[in-house]
Amino acid sequence: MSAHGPLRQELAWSLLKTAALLGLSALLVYAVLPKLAGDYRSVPVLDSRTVVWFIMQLHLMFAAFVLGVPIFALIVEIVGAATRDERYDRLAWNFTQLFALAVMATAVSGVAGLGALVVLYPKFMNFLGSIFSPTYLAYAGTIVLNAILLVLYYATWQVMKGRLKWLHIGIGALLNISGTVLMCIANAWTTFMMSPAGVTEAGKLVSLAQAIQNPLWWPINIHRFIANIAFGGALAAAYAAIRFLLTQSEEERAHYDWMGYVGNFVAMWALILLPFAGYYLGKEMYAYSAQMGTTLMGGAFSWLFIIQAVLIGVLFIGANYYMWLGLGRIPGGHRYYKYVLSMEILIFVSMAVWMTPHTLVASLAEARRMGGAHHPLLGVLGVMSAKNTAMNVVLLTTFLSFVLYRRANKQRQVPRPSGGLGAPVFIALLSLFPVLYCGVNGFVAAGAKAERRLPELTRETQALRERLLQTDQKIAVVLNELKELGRKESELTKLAQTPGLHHAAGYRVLADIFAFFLGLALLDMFVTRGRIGDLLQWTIVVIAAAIVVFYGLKGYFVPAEVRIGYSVYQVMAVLYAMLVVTALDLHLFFEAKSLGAIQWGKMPARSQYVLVLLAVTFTLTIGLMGFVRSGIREAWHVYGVVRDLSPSAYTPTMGYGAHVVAAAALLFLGLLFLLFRYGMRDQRS
Amino acid sequence: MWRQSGPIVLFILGIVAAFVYFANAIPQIKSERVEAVSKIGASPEELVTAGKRLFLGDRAQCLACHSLGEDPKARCPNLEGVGSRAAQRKPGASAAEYLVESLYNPNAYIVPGYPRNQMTPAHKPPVALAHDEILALVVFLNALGGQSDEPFIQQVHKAQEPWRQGLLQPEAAEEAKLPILPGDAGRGAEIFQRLGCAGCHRVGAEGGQLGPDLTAIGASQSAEYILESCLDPNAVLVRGFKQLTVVWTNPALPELQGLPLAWSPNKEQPQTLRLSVDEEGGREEKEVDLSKVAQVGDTVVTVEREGKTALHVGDYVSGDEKTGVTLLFWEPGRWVERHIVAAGIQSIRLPSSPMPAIFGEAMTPRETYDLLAYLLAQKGRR
Repeated sequence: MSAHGPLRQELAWSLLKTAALLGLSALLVYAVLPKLAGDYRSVPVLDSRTVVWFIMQLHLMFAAFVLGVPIFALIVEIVGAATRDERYDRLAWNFTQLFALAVMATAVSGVAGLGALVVLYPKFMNFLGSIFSPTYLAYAGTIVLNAILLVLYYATWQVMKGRLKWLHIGIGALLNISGTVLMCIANAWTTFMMSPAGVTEAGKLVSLAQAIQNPLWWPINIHRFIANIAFGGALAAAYAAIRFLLTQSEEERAHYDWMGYVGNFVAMWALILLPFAGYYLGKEMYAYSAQMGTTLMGGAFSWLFIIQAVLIGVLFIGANYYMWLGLGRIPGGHRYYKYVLSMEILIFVSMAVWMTPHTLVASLAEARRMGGAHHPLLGVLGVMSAKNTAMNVVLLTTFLSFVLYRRANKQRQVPRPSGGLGAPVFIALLSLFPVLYCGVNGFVAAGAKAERRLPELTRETQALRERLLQTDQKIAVVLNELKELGRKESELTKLAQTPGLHHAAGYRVLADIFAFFLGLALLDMFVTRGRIGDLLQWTIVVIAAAIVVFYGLKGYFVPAEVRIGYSVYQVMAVLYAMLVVTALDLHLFFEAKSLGAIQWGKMPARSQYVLVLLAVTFTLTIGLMGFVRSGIREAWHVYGVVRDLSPSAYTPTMGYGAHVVAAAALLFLGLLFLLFRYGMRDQRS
Repeated sequence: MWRQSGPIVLFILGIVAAFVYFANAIPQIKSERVEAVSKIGASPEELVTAGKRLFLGDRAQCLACHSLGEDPKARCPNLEGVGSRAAQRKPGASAAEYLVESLYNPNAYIVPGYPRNQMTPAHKPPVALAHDEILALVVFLNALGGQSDEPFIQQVHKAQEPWRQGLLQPEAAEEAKLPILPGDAGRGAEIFQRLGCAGCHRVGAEGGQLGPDLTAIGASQSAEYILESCLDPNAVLVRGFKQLTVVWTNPALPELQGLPLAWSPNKEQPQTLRLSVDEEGGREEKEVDLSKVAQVGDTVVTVEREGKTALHVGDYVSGDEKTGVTLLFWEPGRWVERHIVAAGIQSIRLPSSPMPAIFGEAMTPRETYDLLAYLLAQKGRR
């Protein structure tokens, strides 16, 4: 897309392209599909499943990019408008150019994927149409709206500076909303295949609303939304890294170093939030079908999650390494070198724990030598208690890297100057979420109520039991009271199984701790003005780490249903620590003395290769997760409703999956490389 | 610029190659292609083979949670030797009934130590096995430590029948139950004698034979079952201890009713039947020559068709006025199972227990639980 030419021409050209692609899609769905007979078709050389997989994987990678980048382009533009710093506006413009180039590739790959599905799986596509055809029109309409907004956003960037900047930001917000709506509509089709709702067992539609809002819809929406931001940030950072490595100009090197830092900053913050979203998705999957959950974590895909752990390990280790390298370009950053080794060891050990498999594929002789299917030492580390602990330790450590990086060139003033409390207080009050979450579960929720009712009901039951055993009346006379006793005992049993019963006390303790330290943080902001802030920060981090480790260890000694709840304590502690420590950091370093400007561009080449590594790893992770998300349906097109009777109704090996994912990733990165190359040339001209 | 990007491109290729290498280096697990419905067969050997194939294959996904041999998994019970313990798993259920229920309604009975809601019913999605496939699985599972012969297969068919007909749903119904409280077995023994239970029931070497032998009742039945039997004898009638009705070939002779004491030479092909009949002076034993018997059984069904009323007497198998009744009819030399359709059924006199339902008025709650404790302690050999 050229930056030149009247807006009207741009709009017309964009609408023409959109109409052509939508027209082709409509032709496939409404003209070609009804005429295709049979259940399945095949193509030469490759099986149908691989063809669809490859094309749709490519489409999803482009889609993740074009949905993720506009979000933080908008955020950066807002920062630029608020601070009136032209650098941020230029950066946002750079980001926008990137995703605008990729939109057409997304659309073309989407139509290609649709074509493959229609031709190769006509019966399945007819079924999907019988459920979701009303959403097709909504999808098409949103695409048109999205195309219009994209042109407006892109083409009016330079024109709408100054007074019209906030109107331009509004257009950007609408663009992001329409992109998110597109994602949510497509997610409805995808998640329906995994957790169908609103249909009978025979597949007849009962409620379209329920089919859309099936159990996994919102978990996938949230997970993909955050993952798109992470992915887009990583790719933008990689683009900047490549430009950094290729440029000869110091000024450009400084600019792209900064762009890479911002892209990576966004990617890593989103990455920190992803485990929470992933946990929610996994929890909902288990709640929908224990069998699906078991297949996911303990069955055919258990080894896939070891590979995922390796990739996530690369991401966290790489991101932290990049930040530690970045300390070198910051005057004063050397003060924090002493912490790097400890953090490095923590992250490496934690990732090693996370990568440890629980069940080993061993022969009978090997299993006998080990004393079972699990290794006597490493098997202990292969369980969720250890992995949750490891993950939370990594999150805390990565967060600490951010904090140290942020304050690297700052020397704070004690006492802190007055003013500038808006942002710290706002972020501190965000920590009310973990406080309230723990408070509600500890005082008000079903588990807390059951905890209060339990001793009372136990007393009532005991008293009734004793009275009935001591009475002289015949059993026929007291039969109703005996049944009442039976009912109470049954209620007692059910009460003892109330979710959250065993955790109400723990939540109350956490709520008290969180509320106490939040109070101290606010006290420091309004009263002591930074005198206790430092100590508070370290105390909160240590307490959060202690909660994580304590409940990780305790998880080995309690039943499964109790252990599962501990992961929420750990997550809440980490989330709380991140929010309050950030708030305190903003508060403590307000108008801090600068030890010198960040020397953008003064980064070793290996730091830029790390950014490229992160982008490629993100791409491979997206592909891997797509494999597992789709594969856990196993021999079903729509889980439990439409059986897969095709020749490909089996789960391929991890090696085969890796080949498909790798091929899609390489093609995606190659096309992106060409698009950016074309974009760079167009910029220079 | 292309030349300058060479190292970057190689770096990217290296990362991707490392990913592919690592993914191929780990154990490669590939599932089999799943057939829609398996071939089953009918003989015990064919059923065991088909069941084994289902158990080990990806269609039923049993191995996702269960295990055999030396590989215990915490998620669901290890099924090694399950055939040898199936009959004792759930009090009151035979091996066939237990195994069938475990597959159709996994939450009905949870093995202690394992969580609920781990397994979906086998006939429902996502596994969605056909009824014959479930039959094969049950036969295979029973063969692990038990004997899967023709009689067992017939038992499985019978246990499966309500599920095949769609009469049952997987969710177990919640019923109001009497509580089980502790008691004193010593006091219970006195109550057992005081109430005259020994007059009909034998414990060890002492007692009557009109009712079921209670020598090992504590080992074979649950506390709930025993308590219910004491307070409501008609709730569950033990086969062979129900009042029988005898209709003679000579229509002039009145019906005879009594408790069966013995079928001679055996129940399968009897020639005579010894009954304990309640006469005015007390109970008398009478020998019935089955060659003079037209019909005998514990259930009497009155049917009216085309203006004519007929009595059908046989042993109750299943059914009611709405679905029709299946009875086991005596014919010279054999028992034949026949179904009486619902149309025309006027009444069904179901078997009743000869045990009087008066013990609720004879015992206090403490005495009841003492008696229960005594009976639960009876785990001796017959």
